[in-house]
Amino acid sequence: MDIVFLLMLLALLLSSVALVRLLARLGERPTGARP
Amino acid sequence: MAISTLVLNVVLLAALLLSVKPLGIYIAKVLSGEQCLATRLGNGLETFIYRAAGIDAQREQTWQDYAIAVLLFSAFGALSVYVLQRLQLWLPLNPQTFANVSADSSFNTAISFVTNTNWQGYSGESTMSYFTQMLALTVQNFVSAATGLAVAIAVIRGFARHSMQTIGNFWVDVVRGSLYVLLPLATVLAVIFVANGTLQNFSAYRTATTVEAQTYQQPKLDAAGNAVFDHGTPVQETLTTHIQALPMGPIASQEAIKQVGTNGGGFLNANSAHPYENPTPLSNFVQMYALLLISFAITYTFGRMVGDTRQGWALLIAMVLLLGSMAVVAEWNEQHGNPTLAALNIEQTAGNMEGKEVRFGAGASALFTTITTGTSTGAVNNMLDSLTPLGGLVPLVMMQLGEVAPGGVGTGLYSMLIFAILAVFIAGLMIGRTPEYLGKKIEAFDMKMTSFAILITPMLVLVGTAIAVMSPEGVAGVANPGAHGFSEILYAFTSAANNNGSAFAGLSANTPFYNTVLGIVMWLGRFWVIVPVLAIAGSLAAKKRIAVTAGTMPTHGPLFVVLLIGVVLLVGLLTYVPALALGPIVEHLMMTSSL
Repeated sequence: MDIVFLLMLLALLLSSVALVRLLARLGERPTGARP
Repeated sequence: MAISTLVLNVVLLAALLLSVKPLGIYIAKVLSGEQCLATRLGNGLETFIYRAAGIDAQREQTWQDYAIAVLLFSAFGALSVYVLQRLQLWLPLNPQTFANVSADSSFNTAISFVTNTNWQGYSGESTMSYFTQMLALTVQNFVSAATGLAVAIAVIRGFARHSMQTIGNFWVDVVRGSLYVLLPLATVLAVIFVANGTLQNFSAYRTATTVEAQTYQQPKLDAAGNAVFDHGTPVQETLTTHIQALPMGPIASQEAIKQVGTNGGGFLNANSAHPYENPTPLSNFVQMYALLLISFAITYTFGRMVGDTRQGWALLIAMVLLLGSMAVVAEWNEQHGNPTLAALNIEQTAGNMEGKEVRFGAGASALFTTITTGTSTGAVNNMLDSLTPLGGLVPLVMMQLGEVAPGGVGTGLYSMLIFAILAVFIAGLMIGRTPEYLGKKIEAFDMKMTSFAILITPMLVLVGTAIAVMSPEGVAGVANPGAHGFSEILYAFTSAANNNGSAFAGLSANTPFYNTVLGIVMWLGRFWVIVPVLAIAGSLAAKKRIAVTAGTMPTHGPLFVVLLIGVVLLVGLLTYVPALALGPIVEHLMMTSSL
């Protein structure tokens, strides 16, 4: 069972890091610009 | 309302308001690296920590680097708490030889303590060794609170700075917050608690012979130690004993940081209702003071660092008005007792005393409950499941408002600032001007981040509750079917997503389903709010400061305070009223209709 919960913890960390990257890209784009 | 409760409210508020300015200045100084007595005394240790950990204290971080540092630090903390629980049987300071904690409970507790939630599905005195309590849980009590403080300071820098790409250094902020703010306060509080009778030792548990025999039931075991079943149902046997186990341990030291760090996780299962944690009305007063202290003071830190202390006072007044009004609702309902019991000629003159400690009474219990859910603490000095329906509505609403009155260490301030940004945005729409706050234009990216930060928590609460009530595993934990059972599930998800940690009890949450789902909700409720909040800090720090003109809306006056309170209430109530109507409001109507 340990491996399941440790992987879950890793997934939570990676999803949060991905959110940082996503919001950073959103911030770089000038207001109103298309992706 | 009883006079004693009124006096308690006034004295507590006065003591806190007297502490706001000195502590607020102190926090601003130590976290800005200004010289003062504490930083001179601790400079050697601080420098040693930086060298040992390889931290370059002079290097500042962008918001992205700051956020990733927060995430890596917290994930490492969760991993270490998980491993310590899974190995505690073979580690020292385990005189009761407690077994290793189960994998799902370890996962839940690790995330719970790292996110400052301190939701406890387990019973501390029968699960955790002293080693786990101290090295895993108490350490996280310090550093999770320091993380919240660090994020708040980074957000303040976002407002205070202009035309800059950086918002500080997370590692420096977390070290200074722990070393200069939390550690000294917790040390003083621990001594006060010990003086009041809170335990602090490493003894094995003791036993006492009771005057009255106690009868209890437990699952019957066969000779091999396996549970006996009768047609698939576990057989229960009735036992009688005169022996009572008395838990021991280093309780006072954990109690101190539990309150001042707005953590809330008790050493013992009964938390602050237990006389070994919270022995006297004086210790109860100090606990309430401690858990509000930093959240009150940091509003002054904010005002000082942005160069206008009136801005901090405006936020604090909004927080106090919200907290005070909700406290009065809770106190009123609990002191008026339960009319259903009164109709059965059961004495209610002392108020609704079911689940409450006689040494605190209904008033102080209701106040403690309001404060502990207005902050992100979640400690309890009475059983929330036994509150009257409207008394129980108060802690739910306090959390659902986003824990901004006054909120947890750091989290309260940055959550309130998010609502302040929303308030100036709404005001800007009404008068047709570009919204601005503290000389910074609030633009599209800031509003996207604000919306994300505000909406993520309700989404976790409502979707999580919906999943639990629709799944057999979720419903299996409910001890009270019907409206109250729904309230228990709604409370659990509200508590987890808002990183509060208090529980309605009555819900058997130490199951693989609840341990896993609530663990995920706690993580997302913490870090998926912190990330957009830091994004706002980075965005604000990079902006130019614009001059105050005749058209600038003042954000330090009564109009703004009313607007801010209105926005907090509007967002909270519009989001949660349908769910509340299915739980505590139905319960109240059922109670009054049964008279």
